[in-house]
Amino acid sequence: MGLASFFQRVFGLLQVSFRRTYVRATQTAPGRTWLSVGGVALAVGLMVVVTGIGVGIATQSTVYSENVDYWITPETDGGSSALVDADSPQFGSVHPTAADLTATDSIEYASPVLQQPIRLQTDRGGGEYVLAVGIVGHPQFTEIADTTTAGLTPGDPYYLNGTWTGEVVLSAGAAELLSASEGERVTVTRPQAGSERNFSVATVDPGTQSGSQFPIAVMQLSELQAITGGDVNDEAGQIVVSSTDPNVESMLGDIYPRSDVSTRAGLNAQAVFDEQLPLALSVTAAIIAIVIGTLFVMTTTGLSVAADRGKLATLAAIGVSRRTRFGLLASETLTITAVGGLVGVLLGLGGIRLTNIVAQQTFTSGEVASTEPFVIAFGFVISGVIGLLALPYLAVLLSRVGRAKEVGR
Amino acid sequence: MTRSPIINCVNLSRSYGRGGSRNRWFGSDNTETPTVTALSNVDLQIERGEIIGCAGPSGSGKSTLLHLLAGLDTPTTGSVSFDGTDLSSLSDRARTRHRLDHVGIVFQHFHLLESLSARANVALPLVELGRPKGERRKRATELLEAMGLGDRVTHRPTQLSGGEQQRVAIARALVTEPDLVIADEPTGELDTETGEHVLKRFREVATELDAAVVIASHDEPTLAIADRLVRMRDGRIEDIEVLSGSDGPHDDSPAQQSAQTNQGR
Repeated sequence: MGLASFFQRVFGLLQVSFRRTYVRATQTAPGRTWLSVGGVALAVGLMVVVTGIGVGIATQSTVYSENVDYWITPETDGGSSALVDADSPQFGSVHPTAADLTATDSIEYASPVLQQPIRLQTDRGGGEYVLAVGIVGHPQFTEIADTTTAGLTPGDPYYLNGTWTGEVVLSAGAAELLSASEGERVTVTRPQAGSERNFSVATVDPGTQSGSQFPIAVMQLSELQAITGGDVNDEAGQIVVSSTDPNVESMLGDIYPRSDVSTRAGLNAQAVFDEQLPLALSVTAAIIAIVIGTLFVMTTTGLSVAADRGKLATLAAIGVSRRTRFGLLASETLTITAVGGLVGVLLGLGGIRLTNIVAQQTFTSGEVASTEPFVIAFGFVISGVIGLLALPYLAVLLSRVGRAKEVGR
Repeated sequence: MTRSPIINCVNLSRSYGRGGSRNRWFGSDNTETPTVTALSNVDLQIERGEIIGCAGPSGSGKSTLLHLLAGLDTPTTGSVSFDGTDLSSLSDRARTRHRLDHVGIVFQHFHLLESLSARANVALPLVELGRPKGERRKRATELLEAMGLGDRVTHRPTQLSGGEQQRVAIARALVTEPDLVIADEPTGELDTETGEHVLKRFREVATELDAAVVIASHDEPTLAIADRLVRMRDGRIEDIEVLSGSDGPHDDSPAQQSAQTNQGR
């Protein structure tokens, strides 16, 4: 058979296949056809949602800094916690403690870190909640929670001499949420004093890191304490320390009773776990989707083959080869799984949207599930895999039924 | 001049099993225990250009014989040779290709694909042959017009009457210009006039394509077109009659000799 003849045969076969699939879906066996599509769509849709949540988790960074080496945290909290609840244990007298640590030869710098959700609003009105992170600035302490600290005056002037700087650094996510730009004034209400405090956007982090999309506002520790009431006991949730001396760890553990000291190595291991978890979630979801989807397609196409055995026998009788008959079934199955994949991706995107709406109305202001383009592509790939995995079963079925001698029986 | 037969059946028998061992994976019959004999010791030779009628009551073995001649099934014993090639010696794939290249089959119940139009049904064997789309459409349309279905080419089988479906099935059998046409009750659903038209078409195929045509029917007027009439009963050939006025093979042909042999059984 020449190449031209081969392609004529393939195109003709595809025409017959699409026609058969269309008529089956609309007229002769719509229930069975749409059941197959629905099975694949459900599996792919759920996988897209789980993967979207996994990606969402992965892109919402934890609050730790790349340029510190030790984290002192209350015993009940983990050093890598993304968000510290307001009611969680806090350290007291953190400013003098940090100052003492910074004064130690073996320590480059130390800074308390206070994290609190606050409501910021611009002069245009419309407040938004962001995660405020208060620190004591230091020239070498350049970023916290994937957000730069550039623009903050070192040393926490308000604590030292009562000078209110009003400096705030916004992450790209926070700037976008507030529609705020550098130099713009933002206001936060002081629940304790019943008054407002003004800040000026010192810097907007352009957002080169994964966590920059999260709405974060970095400010002077004492100013955040003043807003949230943490100034009474000079509170903070963590103390970060930069040091290359491994002997520092034991000393840090003695500063506060019932505290934990996390090292960079330990946190890196935790970070690896945090990064691998979404991947593991996605892989697990994909495997489950493939298994369920393939079993579904195998079952429904098996029913179709059984119902079509007379037609398959007719094709064999008039001289249509088994390879062509398999090609017909394969293209019909792949068409159905492709449609299932498309519907599944749309369902998944809807599910992600719904998940974010529910999450935003209950426990967070950000998005917990992400609709990255690769998630959509992933859905289509999985539907293709489901179709391909069902093909060997079709080949086995075809060797058992629809043989020429069955025609007319 | 004596020509070699296109079909040569020698001591042909076909038995069907009941029970037997079962495949442990799929539960289907794996081997067959012969219990029902559908065809027994049939010798028959058919020449090119000849129309053979096949008559007999239900269960006489007509359909089994047609299936074996078409290469749809293989005999339990004996052989069917097509142009000197024993069909039993061919693989399943080769027999499928043989049917595509050489055999046109009209099934009693038409067996059209309901999802395809009349034209697509007729053109289906040409798809397998890799013919261009334009040629497929042209050839299928011509045949349907010849069958009086020029205005029904885009209709699906469910939109056609029984007679129209039968003519579509006949057109599909003829579309590849086969060497052998097997037709099981080809006029069963046709009125007299249309039936005569179809039979005339079979004669044209036999003459113009030099093809052998085998027609099984209960209808005597349909069988009257045959050059020879094979009468069957209980799986055996009871009688082969050379019909008067036929322009078929010579009386001293192997087919006639075979008929005489069978008459003695």
